Amino acid sequence: MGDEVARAVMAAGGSTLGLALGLLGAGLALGLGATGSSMGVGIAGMTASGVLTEDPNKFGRLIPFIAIPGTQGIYSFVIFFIITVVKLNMLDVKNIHMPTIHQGLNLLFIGFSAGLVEYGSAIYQGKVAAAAIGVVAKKPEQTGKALILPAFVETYAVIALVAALLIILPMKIG
Amino acid sequence: MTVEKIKKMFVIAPLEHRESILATLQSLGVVQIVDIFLGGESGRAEEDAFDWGRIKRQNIPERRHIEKAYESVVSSIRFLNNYIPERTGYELLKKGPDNVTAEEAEKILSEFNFEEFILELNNIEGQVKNLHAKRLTHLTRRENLLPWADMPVPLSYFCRTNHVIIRALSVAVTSVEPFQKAAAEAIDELWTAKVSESKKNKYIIVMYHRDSQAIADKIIQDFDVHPAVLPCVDMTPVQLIAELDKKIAAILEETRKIEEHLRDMRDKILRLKVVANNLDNALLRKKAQEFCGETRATFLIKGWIPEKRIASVEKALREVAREVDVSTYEPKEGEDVPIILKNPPLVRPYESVLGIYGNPNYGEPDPTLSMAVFFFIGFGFCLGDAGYGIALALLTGWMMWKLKLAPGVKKFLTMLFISAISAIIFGAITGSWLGNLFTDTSDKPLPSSHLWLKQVLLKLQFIYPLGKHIMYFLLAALGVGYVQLFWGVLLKFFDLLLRRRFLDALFDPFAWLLFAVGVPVGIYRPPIGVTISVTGIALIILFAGRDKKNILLRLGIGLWTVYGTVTGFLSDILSYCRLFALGLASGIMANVINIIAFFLFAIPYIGWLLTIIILVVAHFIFLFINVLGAFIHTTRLQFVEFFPKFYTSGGYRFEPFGLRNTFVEIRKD
Repeated sequence: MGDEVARAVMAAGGSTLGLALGLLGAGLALGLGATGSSMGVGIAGMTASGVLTEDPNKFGRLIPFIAIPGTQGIYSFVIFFIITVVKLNMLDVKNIHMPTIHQGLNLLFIGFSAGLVEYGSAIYQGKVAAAAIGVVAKKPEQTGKALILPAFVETYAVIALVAALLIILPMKIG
Repeated sequence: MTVEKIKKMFVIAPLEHRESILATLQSLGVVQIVDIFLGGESGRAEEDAFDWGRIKRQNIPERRHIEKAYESVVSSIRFLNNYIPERTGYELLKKGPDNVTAEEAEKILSEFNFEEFILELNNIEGQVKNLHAKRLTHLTRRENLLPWADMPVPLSYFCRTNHVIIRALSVAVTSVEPFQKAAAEAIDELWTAKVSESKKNKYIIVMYHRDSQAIADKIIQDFDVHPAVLPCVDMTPVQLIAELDKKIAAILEETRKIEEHLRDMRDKILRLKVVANNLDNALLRKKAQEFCGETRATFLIKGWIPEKRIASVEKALREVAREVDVSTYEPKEGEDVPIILKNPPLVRPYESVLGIYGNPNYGEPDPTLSMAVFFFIGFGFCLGDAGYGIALALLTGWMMWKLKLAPGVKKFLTMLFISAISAIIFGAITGSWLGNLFTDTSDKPLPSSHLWLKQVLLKLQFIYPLGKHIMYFLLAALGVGYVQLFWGVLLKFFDLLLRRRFLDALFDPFAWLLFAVGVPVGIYRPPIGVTISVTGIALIILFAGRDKKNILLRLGIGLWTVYGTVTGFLSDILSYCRLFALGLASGIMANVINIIAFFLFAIPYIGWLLTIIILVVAHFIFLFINVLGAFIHTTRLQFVEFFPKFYTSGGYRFEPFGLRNTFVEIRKD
């Protein structure tokens, strides 16, 4: 980065440290959330394949149960995307928005805590989905009820997303 | 909305009309017949009037015959299905199950001698099995001969010797050497020759004098050696194999002919299905008959009937028999009355969401209409994108138009279709059309003819959830929650008023409503709002434990209820923030797809193609995920936040005794 740009950034209060902190927050959000979703989808997928060996016709009914724990990964990606692309403008390398250290810390902590919630809720939602798949295996006519149970866990993933959006979206960086 | 009015009905008629009356009730299909011997001793006047000592359960010996005929028809259909497969998958969806008109069915039933046909079919089935078994034997024999194919002598040489014994042996590769050594040592005049070998075995011929038989047998037993059993015929193995091949081919040809004959029976399978349908309905009649009581000369039916059908049923029954008595009664408290939901056409599809939670009890108001309105709003809020809304509407519309679907599936798809319209509205006013695909053209190399579309779409937008209106958007989501919860408690309040439980209405729902009204009022006029809310809370503290005598206990319960009410109110309303999150997330996710897709546009030559592929595939996947999320979360809001405020559920749907089309659809032309 040229001296002029650095000086301009400093004048606005932005700093490389702030940028690093913000990116760390984005990375933690995505990393934790996507890892959790992988585990949750994995748990549900394993149970579903067990049911499929008995009755391959249930494939269509089981798809939503495998997809539900995947939403945390998407929520994390939304947070990651808003921080990196929308707020820090990372796609435009010549014109990256530099956050202040204060803003960077903000991004770090909201990214980390949201990622943590997405991580845990995805795993537990995967477990509930796996149990709900058992309901579908034995009582296919109760698929609707079984589908609602994993949504209880999803609430907290949604709350984390809401909190992150409320803090990140109004932020003015650079 | 309330459920349809249902009455309890008794039909008493002379025994000789039993069959015809049950058949009439079945074809009318508007009465649910229940077991007359269950719930009869509950002290209800109309049922106490019967002389129960003289009413017996009916004895139905002919049921066994029908069951037997039914089973044979069903197994014949199953046998034919091996050759004429049923429609499955997309073909079934497109064409629907087999169907006939009522006249055709009538004609088949009068002309088709199914018993004769089934005998013929059983005969053919026997032939097929026989041929199959024969072919298997031939194949085994052929298999056994193959190792000996190189032997140029007729097989009869093996069995027509006087002094010499010739044996064909298969010897495990590992035992060949020790076996030959042991045999050579023990038997004087031994001749061996190898015919062929496989990975596991060597096939050899041994020849020795009859005197050495005992020793030879012992040695054969000691090693891993198996004598082959070869038929005693005047043919070389090659000739015999050719002969067997000919036989197998003949059997295959015969089987093929039979199978072809069976494949031509497409019209027969349809006839069998009509018969199976008929027998199935006859069995239903017999099962209904088991629920009826009989005396020496009369029989009794107990059932539930929608009030508006009573007159027509009575008239139809009188046409069958003059001396029939139909009496109807108002159901009493505590009776297990089935329910029929009664909703306008636009709301009816939402009954499929209600069905997931549970049907209302008889006498309880049907919450479908209230739920449908909030479901419509919630679903649109969550999906929140006009592009996805249009795609969902097109997809569900196409499925309903082109495919023959089961009524339940159709109802569910109609529900999604209507809800998709809500998403289009929400998408239009928030400017989300597949995210910013059409509205933000700055970073997309789109043709300039595209711009007028952008102008139009931007004119429709007046809420900017990703910009200046983000907090309002959140408040709107919570506002939906506030209104829905308020409406739920209000319904409870009116329900209690109608049941004349005025004190309960005042101290529970009314107190909650006071508290809830005070919260938004308090934001603008704090003193007034606080007063109203505190009044509500005071009512709860003082009267929530009103059935307790002990004043301390009563206040304790009151305080505990206040704690529950306040935290419940907060958490219920905050739960609606999911509308906000999902609504934003679907738009942002769509934007992400657009950005990634147009990233690839710069690749020379194929860039535009990659962009289009990514746009189509990724938006399709995200449509699925977003619709799934919107459905689940909106449903959850109804089930967890809304229903517990006023709705108990636990009723069961009215299922009239009628004609069932399990095997073939009877078309109404």
